[in-house]
Amino acid sequence: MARINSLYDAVIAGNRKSTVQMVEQNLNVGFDPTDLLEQTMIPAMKEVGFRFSRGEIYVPEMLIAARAMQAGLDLLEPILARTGARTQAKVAIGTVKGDLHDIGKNLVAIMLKGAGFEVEDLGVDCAVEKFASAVERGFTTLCLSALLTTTMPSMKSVVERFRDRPDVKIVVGGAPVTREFAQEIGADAFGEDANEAVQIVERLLVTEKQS
Amino acid sequence: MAEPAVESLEGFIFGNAPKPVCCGSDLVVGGGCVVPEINFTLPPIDIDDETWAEVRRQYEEMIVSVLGRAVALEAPGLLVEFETLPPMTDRPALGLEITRLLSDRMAESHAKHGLKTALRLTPNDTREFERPPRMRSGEHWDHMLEVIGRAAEHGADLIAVESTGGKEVCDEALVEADLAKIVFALGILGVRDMEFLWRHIVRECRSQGIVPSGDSACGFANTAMVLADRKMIPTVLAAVVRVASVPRSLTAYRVGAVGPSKDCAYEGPYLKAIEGVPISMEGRTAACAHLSPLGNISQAVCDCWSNESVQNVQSSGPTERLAERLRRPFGPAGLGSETRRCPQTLR
Repeated sequence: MARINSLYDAVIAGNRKSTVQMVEQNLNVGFDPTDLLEQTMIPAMKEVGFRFSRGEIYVPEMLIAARAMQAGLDLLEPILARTGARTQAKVAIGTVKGDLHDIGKNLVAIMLKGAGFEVEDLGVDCAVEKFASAVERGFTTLCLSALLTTTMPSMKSVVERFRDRPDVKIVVGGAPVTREFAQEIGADAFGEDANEAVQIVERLLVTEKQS
Repeated sequence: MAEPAVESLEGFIFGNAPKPVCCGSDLVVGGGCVVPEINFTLPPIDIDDETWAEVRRQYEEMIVSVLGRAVALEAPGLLVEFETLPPMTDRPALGLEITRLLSDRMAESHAKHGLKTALRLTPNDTREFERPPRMRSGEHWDHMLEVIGRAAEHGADLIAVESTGGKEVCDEALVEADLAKIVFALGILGVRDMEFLWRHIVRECRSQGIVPSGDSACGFANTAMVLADRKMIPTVLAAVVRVASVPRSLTAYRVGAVGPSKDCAYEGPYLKAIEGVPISMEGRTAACAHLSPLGNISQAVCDCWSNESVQNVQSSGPTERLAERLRRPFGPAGLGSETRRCPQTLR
């Protein structure tokens, strides 16, 4: 199935009403819900991410698009769940222990949801145990955020906790965090911004499937 | 208030505030010269019982180096800000122990070299550690109050805070570019919390004979500034947020704070113009501070110039030329005529 341009444009423009209408219309005329999602809506959100990375749009515009996407997803998800056509990869995200900053973390969560992941937001000031509990519930991809240099060591604690769990993938990000730091503490990846974080999670999951 | 405290542009100048503040060991802020302010923090390290000796050693090293450099540069005075890290507010004994350590070294420097100093203690506003934040009771509130309530006995001379009332609403509003919500967060939630919090702080400070200095809209307007710098929200929105943050920060002064304002309160020029309090500013020339064109404006009217919060990382290289440059603006010409009374106590 080719991309449905009108739906694609509605998601990018953040037009929630049109997005919902078009998803309903396309479902009514027999379009496959998985195709709608994977051929049109997720690519639309990817384009939104790219535009943000290129500095062409601001966060509020990205959020409006994400909400339109979510409104469409709300219609699709019950159908997809019923048919078992698509299992979503599960990602847990949180700001590490001692750190209360959550703007960046929230953006990554929104973009991950927009990309079709099942996201559990663990909140702020998350101790290692909170991440461990998420892993026990099947969230084997963890995104860790920190804004303070003083809380960055908490990221290392989380990484060390899952040292013997190669199936658990850990992505770190936040203003003071660097690729070098991610490498130094043994994280699986570093996300420069919300868009890159999504790409990295996708890449990690593809690699995981292939291995 | 019918008129602003600064009546004309001619009187709106660095180093001079209509209501100067005397604090610590004979330090006067806003009384004729710009006072250097230094704020430092730890390199990445866990703060717990195991690392505590190293934490102490780091602070000792920082304060000794800073005081040594201030003496070498013949600084007219030095305001030291100790901004606690969250574990040091949650365990007040830790924060107070470092306060004592810094204060002792500053007192020694004053006794030995005559360096005029004051120690500004800034506990974290840990109330937002609970989500939703519990602002007027609970463990975090009690710990904050304990740090503030025992500040003077551990050598602090001023109290400041970067309070967070309404921040969770403002954070959301910023990324949504929701101006009405921003104004509600700052103008209603922020102002109400500032009034509540600063009445407590002012009462505590007065009972201990120390200075209730001021607050900062750092968590609001600086967040907007940084988001704009990173092209996440429009710069114009960040500028509007800064102006919208002024009534919130002014509230501290309306209930008895006297300045100097916090260095990261880039709304400082408004506070000085309206209330006449001395202000501390950072930015532009402070390599680790927020990079903002506002630095050009704010520096023009500052009473303390701050380096923002620098980590204890040793640098090397010749510093003589830098030292010479620093000597000039802080030369002793403007000193000596300042009154020894504490003007803020008269207000």
